Amino acid sequence: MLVFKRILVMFFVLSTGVSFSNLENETILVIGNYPVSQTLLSSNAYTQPETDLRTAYNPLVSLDGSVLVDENEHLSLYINPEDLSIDILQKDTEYVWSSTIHLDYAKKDENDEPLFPDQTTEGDRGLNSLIWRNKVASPVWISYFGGSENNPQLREESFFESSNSRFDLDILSNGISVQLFFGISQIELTYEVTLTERGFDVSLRQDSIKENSNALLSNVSIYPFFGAAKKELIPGYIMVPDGVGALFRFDQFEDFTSPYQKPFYGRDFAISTFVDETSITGDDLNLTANTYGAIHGINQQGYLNILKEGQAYATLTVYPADVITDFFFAYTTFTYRSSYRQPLNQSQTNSVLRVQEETNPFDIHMDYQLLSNEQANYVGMAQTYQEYLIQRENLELNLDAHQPLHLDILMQDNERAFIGRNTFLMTTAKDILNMIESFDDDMLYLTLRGTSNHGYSGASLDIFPLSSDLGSKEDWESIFTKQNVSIYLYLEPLKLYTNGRFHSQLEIARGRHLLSYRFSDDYGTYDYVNPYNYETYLQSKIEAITAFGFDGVAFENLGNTIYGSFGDSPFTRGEMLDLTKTLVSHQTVYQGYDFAFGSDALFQMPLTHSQHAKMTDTVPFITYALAGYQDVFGPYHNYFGNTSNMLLKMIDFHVSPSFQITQESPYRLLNSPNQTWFSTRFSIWENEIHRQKNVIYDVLRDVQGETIINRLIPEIGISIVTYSSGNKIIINYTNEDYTYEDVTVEKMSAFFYEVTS
Amino acid sequence: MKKGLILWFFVCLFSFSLETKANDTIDPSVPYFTYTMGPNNQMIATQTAYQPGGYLTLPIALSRPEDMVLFNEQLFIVDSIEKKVFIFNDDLEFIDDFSYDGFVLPKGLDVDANYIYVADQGAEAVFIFDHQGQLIRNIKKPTEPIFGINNPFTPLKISVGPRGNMYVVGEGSTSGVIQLSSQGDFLGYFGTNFTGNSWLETLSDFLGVQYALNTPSSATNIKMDDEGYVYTVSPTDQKALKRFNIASVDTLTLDYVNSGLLAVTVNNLNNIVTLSNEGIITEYDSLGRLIFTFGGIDESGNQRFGLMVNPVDIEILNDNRLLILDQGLNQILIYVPTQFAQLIHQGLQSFNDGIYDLAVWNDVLSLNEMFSVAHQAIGQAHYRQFDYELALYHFELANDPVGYSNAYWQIRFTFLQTYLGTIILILLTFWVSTIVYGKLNRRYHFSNVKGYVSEKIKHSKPLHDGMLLFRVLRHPLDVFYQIKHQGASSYKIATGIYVLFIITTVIATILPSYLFSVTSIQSFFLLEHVFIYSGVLILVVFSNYLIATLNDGEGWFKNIYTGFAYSLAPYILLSIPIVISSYGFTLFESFIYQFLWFIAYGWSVVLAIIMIKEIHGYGLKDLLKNILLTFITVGLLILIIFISFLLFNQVIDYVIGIVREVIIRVGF
Repeated sequence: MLVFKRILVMFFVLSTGVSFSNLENETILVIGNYPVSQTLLSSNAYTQPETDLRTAYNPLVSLDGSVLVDENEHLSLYINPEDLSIDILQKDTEYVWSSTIHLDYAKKDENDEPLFPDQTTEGDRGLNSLIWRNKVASPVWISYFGGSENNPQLREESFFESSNSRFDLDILSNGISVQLFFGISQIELTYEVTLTERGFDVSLRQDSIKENSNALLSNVSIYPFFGAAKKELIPGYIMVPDGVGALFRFDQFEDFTSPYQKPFYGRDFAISTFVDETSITGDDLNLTANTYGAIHGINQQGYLNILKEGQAYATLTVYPADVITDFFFAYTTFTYRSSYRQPLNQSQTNSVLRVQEETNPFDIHMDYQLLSNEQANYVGMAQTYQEYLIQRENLELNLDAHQPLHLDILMQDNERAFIGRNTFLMTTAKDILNMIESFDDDMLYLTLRGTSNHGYSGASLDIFPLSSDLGSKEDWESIFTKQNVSIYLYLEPLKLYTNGRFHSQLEIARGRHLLSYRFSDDYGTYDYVNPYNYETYLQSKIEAITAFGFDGVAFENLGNTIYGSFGDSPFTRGEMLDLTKTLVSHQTVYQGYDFAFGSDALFQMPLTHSQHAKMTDTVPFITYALAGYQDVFGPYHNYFGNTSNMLLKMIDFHVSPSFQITQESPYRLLNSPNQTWFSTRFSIWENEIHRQKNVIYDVLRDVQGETIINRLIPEIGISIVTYSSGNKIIINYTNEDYTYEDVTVEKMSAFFYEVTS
Repeated sequence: MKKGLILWFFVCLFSFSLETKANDTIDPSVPYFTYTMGPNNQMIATQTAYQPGGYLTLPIALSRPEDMVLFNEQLFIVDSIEKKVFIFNDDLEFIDDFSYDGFVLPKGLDVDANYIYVADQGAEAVFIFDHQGQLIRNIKKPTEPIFGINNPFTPLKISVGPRGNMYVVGEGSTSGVIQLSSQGDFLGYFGTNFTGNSWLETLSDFLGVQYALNTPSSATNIKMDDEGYVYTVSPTDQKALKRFNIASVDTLTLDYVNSGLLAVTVNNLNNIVTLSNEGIITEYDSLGRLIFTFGGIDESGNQRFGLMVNPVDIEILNDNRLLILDQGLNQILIYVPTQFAQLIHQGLQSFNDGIYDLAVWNDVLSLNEMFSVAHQAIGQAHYRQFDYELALYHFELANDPVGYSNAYWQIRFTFLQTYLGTIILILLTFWVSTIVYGKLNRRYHFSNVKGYVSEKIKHSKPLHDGMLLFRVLRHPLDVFYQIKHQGASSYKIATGIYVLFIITTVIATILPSYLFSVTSIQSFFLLEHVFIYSGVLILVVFSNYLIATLNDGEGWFKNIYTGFAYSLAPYILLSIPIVISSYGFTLFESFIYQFLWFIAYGWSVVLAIIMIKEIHGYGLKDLLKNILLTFITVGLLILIIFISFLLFNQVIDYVIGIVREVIIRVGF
């Protein structure tokens, strides 16, 4: 019918020679330099200079009443047998970390003068509420479901809240084991604290938990007040891996009324299903790694807590000072049970609150690593986390100094046709060959979308066998013979679109695949799947793809989505996390979280955090932890509003460039569900890709394959990044030249500063 | 109307839409998405146009800032709790403030070279100060009779014109914006909002039933630009943003407006920028075309940088930075234009200057190939260079029918200039040869096609019945007589005609030229279309049969079924030629095109009326009664189907609810 219409149009129009196929006068894109404002550079979207370099001293903690349990070259572990608080003495800086503080720090005498003037300042709230005094003193906080089965109520209890609480303390050779009996809920549990070479481990085995029918355990937090810092007393910050990394500096505490609280890796659809799909604001970013830490005194001391077990069920809470207490403190809560609303009717206007019957199966294991001196900052944290990742994922240093480039290529897409859907070509195998030739010397990562007959939108698992329209077997063969090219097929394994080919087919053939978590996005309505039921199917599909000659698949969402199911074929968040680890090895991943860091490459890593007002800085924690070991790619350059500024950020954060590409004009996509690819034509972008890549690698070329050991912000808008070789990269975001030692770094540029030994 | 209602009903019943948001991947560095207008009036995502650029450093504490205004790059803010006006210099540094004892609830502010004007809602007055903060004048409620004794004077916002004339937006000032002279004399009302009657109100008017008085809503904010245009925003569904010229005529047509508009301002390109209570900032060019829309409210309570809490006012600095006054944060949030926005502004500047800089707009297109305004600008540039084909191409992409029509007119003109002689010659030759051939044939009888065909028709009933489709145009009474009394036509033939009718409706919907197109193929739902049209046909035929049975109609069901099919003949036969003709028309001749459709529809309706009259043997009174009752029956049937559908859903939901609750409570 379209043809018919076109013929009619041509009757009058085409006879005079109009082309409807392409834009005329193909333009070559050139993007110039453009500065960002100083106010933006001093906002929490950038890292701020360290202005408070006082020596950290915490008069609110002391070793009085504590007994030494164990010590090594670096640390001593103490326990107070009265209140079970632990203290860690860092021998090299002689700093004491404690799990509690002096409760009466703000007490005043009869003349209204402070009793402990070195511990308090004007305007302190003090610990006046009994509830919070008990909380701060308690080693463990729990919450549990009481009330009747049909009306469950979540109640909290800190250990010292009830005088009926009892404990048994065992001193072990390298730590302590404590059995707690909670007086109100009658819940029992046992945890251990043991000294390690560089810190201490806190663990709790699930089989030590004893609950009763009146009190079903929900949450556990162990030593939540560890490392609390009183406002204005201690310089430093708390670092959380929100997006790429965020700091909560201890000098910003006014005007906040609530703590920062997020589950690691995002919420679980099984528990909370609310998604605001009409919102035009972006979602908050999730916590992308199983860790957080705090610094007390810049370059003096700090800790990094790595959650080695139970992270899939953990929630991080950061209290800024002035929200209830005078303290900044961060802790994790582990969730054994949740409540959820079960709707009684389709319209979900009527529902009942239910409590999860079985507890989530996990033990708690937190590994506190203490940092000192030059390690005591967010870069030191990233290095410490990197060591953990190397060990866990067997990562190896990228010794070949390659310059990776990621092209995300749309091959085919679909649109509504007069009847059914019409698939159309955007890029062919021959086009890809041309692209590869254009970037001959580079390490190219290609991810291909829409490779089956159906095209990209809504395809989910439908990516292979390849559509014959894309090219012949020979075309593909000639691509596979190219050096330095890794090609992956884009695969969305978790969302099955209701209008997609695999939606009902899989459901019927394999049974019980789709979970009742239904959402919708640009590409239609989709159900999340139970990935366990088709793990083998997925593996065989990947095998077929690699047997054909591809390097594997690029997983969308798998690396950043974990959920459980309480349905007929239940599985847990923890199991899904383990499954993902297995699936992503030797594949690539979009927006992956730490459990996907073992993949071949990581695309679309965020370079920002959620930008809450409580956060004071953006820091490249995640990308620095992976630098030298993993190829990490940032957001697509096609859609930058301020390209020159973003290129500097890519250099600063050490990430590689990534572009979305089509051979045809993206105008062709106007009637497809995929309208966010609005500037992707290769002929327009080719030169600009070369240019932008060169801007990045002209500076980063000589530090590829190195790790990052320091990052200094001497003033607003300037970053100096030091690599393991000692060489530095100086990034100047500002609109004025910057002089570093003997060199001038031009405005809005980056400079490779070679250290001659 | 009926058809429209039925269509609407079925569309509501069987279509569903999913509102979705753009992928998070476009620009994750800002917490909102930016959209622009793409082809076919589709909103499409684009690069971030404005980035949050921090908060203005305020050494003073604002308590409840109400309004701000920029004058000579100096910023003035009025605060209703502090009861003060704060003044910042052109580097946006605080320099001074002043207060006045008479302030009760100061809410509006404007500044000109001589004075500072404060609209005080509580004091029901406008206070005029000099730049040192000394009160010059206090303007109370006008005493002129034309102001209206009962009209309130509670100034909310104020804007001052070149000669000190004041435009005051008052609470409950439904007569319009209050226009005062520099001395405070009432000059008249300006820019009154319209009232629209709902269909219920129209019906009650018609039936003489008293309905509550319908007063227009008053404007809520006002802004005057350097050229003397007055912009108002109003809490209305339609025309929420207006631009009045000096004669109080609204000169703005917008293709997209946010709901809940709070404030409006104009930048040095004469671009209009609005702020809504949902924190959405929208930028239009001076012609009212959407350039960007972005922003949002922080609903999480986390004060995400770049989102607002309770925005109240917007201003634009000379370098196009946006200032947002946020009453929730008591701060001024700055948005800085990005490289991309600067490029667009550069293009718009050239557009305003009449240069139509192709290079800039091509760059814009490289960055977003769907950017409508860029296509339109490039189209205009090509039009000026007499390159009408390319102009046509870009006007279509930009969805600019006027530009398209102009370019098309030129192309058609050239085409006709070149080929008109040839075409006329061919037609003339053809006409002459037919005449000659006819005359010769009559004389020498070398062919008898006509006779052969009429013989064929006479002996084949299906062919004969089919040919009645043509005959009904000239002899409707004859055809309906044949149907009723001579058993002409059959269910089969009539069904065939109905199918033909539906096919022609499909053609008429999707195939007219771009200028007259109803819908695109991509947004056309074939099954839905067929379902709606056949549904309406079945309902009408069935209802008419029901009514006729009760009202002594003589026609059998078959008569009505077949007769109704034949009355569609004009539509079936004319629609395809009309659709083809649409490719010959531009917007200048659109009335011809519409008139052709009027003939096609009107003729069919007339035939249907004649059909009912003849088939049922009605007089005029019975005929009217029958038609009216048929309409009512169709309406009732739709209502019944609709209610059954709803009830059925409710019952299913109810049963599922009970079963689930039993399972959960009893614990099976």
